[in-house]
Amino acid sequence: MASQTDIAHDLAGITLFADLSPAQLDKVGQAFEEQWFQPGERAQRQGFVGSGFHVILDGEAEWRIDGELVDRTATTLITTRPLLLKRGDWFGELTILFNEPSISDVVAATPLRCIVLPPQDLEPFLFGYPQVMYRLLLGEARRLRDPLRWQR
Amino acid sequence: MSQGPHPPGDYKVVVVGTGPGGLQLSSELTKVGVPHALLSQDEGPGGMFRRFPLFHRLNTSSRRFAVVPRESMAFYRYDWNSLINEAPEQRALVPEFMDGLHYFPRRSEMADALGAFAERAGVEARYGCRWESTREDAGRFVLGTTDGEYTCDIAVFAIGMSEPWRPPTPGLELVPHYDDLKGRDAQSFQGKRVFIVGKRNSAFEIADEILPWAAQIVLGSPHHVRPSIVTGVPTPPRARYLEVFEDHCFGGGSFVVDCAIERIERNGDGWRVHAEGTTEPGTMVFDVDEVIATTGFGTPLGDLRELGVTTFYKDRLPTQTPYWESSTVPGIFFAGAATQGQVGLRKYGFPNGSASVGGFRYNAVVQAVEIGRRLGIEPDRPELSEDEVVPFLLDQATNEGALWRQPAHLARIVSFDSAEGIRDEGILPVTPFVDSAGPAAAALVVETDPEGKLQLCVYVRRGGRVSEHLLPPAFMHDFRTPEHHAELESVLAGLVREPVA
Repeated sequence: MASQTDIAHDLAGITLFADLSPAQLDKVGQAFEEQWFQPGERAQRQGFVGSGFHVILDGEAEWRIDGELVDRTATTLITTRPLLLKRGDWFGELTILFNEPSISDVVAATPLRCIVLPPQDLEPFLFGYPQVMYRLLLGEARRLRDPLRWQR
Repeated sequence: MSQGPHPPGDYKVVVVGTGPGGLQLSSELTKVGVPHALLSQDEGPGGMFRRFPLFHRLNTSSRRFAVVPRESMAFYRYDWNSLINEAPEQRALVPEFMDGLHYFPRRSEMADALGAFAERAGVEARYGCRWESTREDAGRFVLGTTDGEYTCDIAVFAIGMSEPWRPPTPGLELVPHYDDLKGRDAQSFQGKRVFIVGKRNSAFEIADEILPWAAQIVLGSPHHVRPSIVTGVPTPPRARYLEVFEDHCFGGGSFVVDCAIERIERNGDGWRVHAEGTTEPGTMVFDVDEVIATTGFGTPLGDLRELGVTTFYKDRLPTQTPYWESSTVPGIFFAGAATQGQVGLRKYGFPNGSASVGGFRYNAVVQAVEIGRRLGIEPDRPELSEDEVVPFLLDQATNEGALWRQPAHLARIVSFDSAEGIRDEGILPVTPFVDSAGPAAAALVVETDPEGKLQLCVYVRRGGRVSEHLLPPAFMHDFRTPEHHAELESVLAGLVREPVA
């Protein structure tokens, strides 16, 4: 499908892009591609290379490793609800930064609409938008500091 | 009421549209043995190629000569525009109509080839019959047309992406769209300053056409363009439209500007375009004589949204399953350019070929088999011997056009079952294969690496889990080498033959 989309006003409410001007949002909207996943479809595939950096616009997704739902037990030793990714959440960045196959599946739990940046474009994108890089860093730090609150 | 075949009535399948998507699907449905009606609002075959592209040749190529015979299936790898046919004398029809002046066919050459395909392949349609409405009745679909009602179990819409689309930029609705330039010649832009909103191929097509006449050309959109010769995939501008881009680079009278258009307003007899720089920040104001919106097209879905068909991509494409069926209304399928709404694996962000004939013609072949299966017609699954498997797959990797024109999307799949033996399952979408459990099997696809280079990938399913194996590149893309044979045999160890103890 076409690689450029006009989704700027969808991005305006996403925390990751909160510091960007309308013109920058327009450009970001064309750098990313909009993708849609039906419930049960994998947006990221464990063990595969070439998956992109995804930001969720609408819908929810689950994290699965070896087919099993990931919950916060892994980091907190407390059995809780499964991790659920929602609007404004992102995934795929660690796989790209470490340049290795994905270590988990991300599976659409509902109809899922994302914007996706190809893996090879993430680094230049973040250098081009340091405000986004800072927001991304904040998000990663928040996940590390307090996994219990990670799910907003 | 129009005259012709397929009068209103009750059918298993109804196909709407006689562009390349509808013609290909109809031909394949007949081959599979699915009775169906084919309807078209046009007076003859050709679809969008009866109107577009406006000025230029197509931007998809057809070689007239290649290293394989024109009448072979392998020739389709080099001919992106001809529809597929089993009969050798009906293959590669587009090169037959090309005059040899260029390897991009003219619109008229493409239209003639589509007409010849319909005639020679015996694809019959009811022309002059316009689809107007759709409803569900007792679990079936009823299509209202200008000739009457068609009732069916499955409806396939091969209606292209032909509805002009504009983003909600103030003032953009006042200026002509690409679609509105029909009948206008380049000379009418003589001495004018022209602002073209957009930087996709249609923008460059117009710019290239009016370059000899316009006084100044500005192409404006937020994204920074990376020509296909840089990316290695068909991103705009394509090589054939590079004159305008080069004129921009050389400081001529053309400008390719990265800017977000804020509004467009009347300015005397001309227009004033207000924009904000994206790559280089700053306010920009352009005073020009003409503004043209080359902002793309959407799928003319009519009342299908009311039926429950959901869309994405700014409401321009229907959401689809891997077999190009509406994800929300089972039984409603799409063919042709709208199938680009199903992106496949989308490795490294590179697109598959479903936006153009060279890709979506293969989708129609796969879809016809799937529709046949839904109606109880099981496809052939030829048996392969152990010794045949690896050479067969390597020959497919070298010659099968479906793999080359639909990278990371369509796969040649071979299954390994102790009871059934080794079976060629045919060309199928790769995403259901990697996303579902099933018998031991291998799926062969062509993919693109991060640098845009084409490579071969084999997905192997064992014990319900799928693993990914990249194969090394091959000199001149010929994978029929001892090294690739050994590599593939190793990847398939334990499936083709028992593993060596």
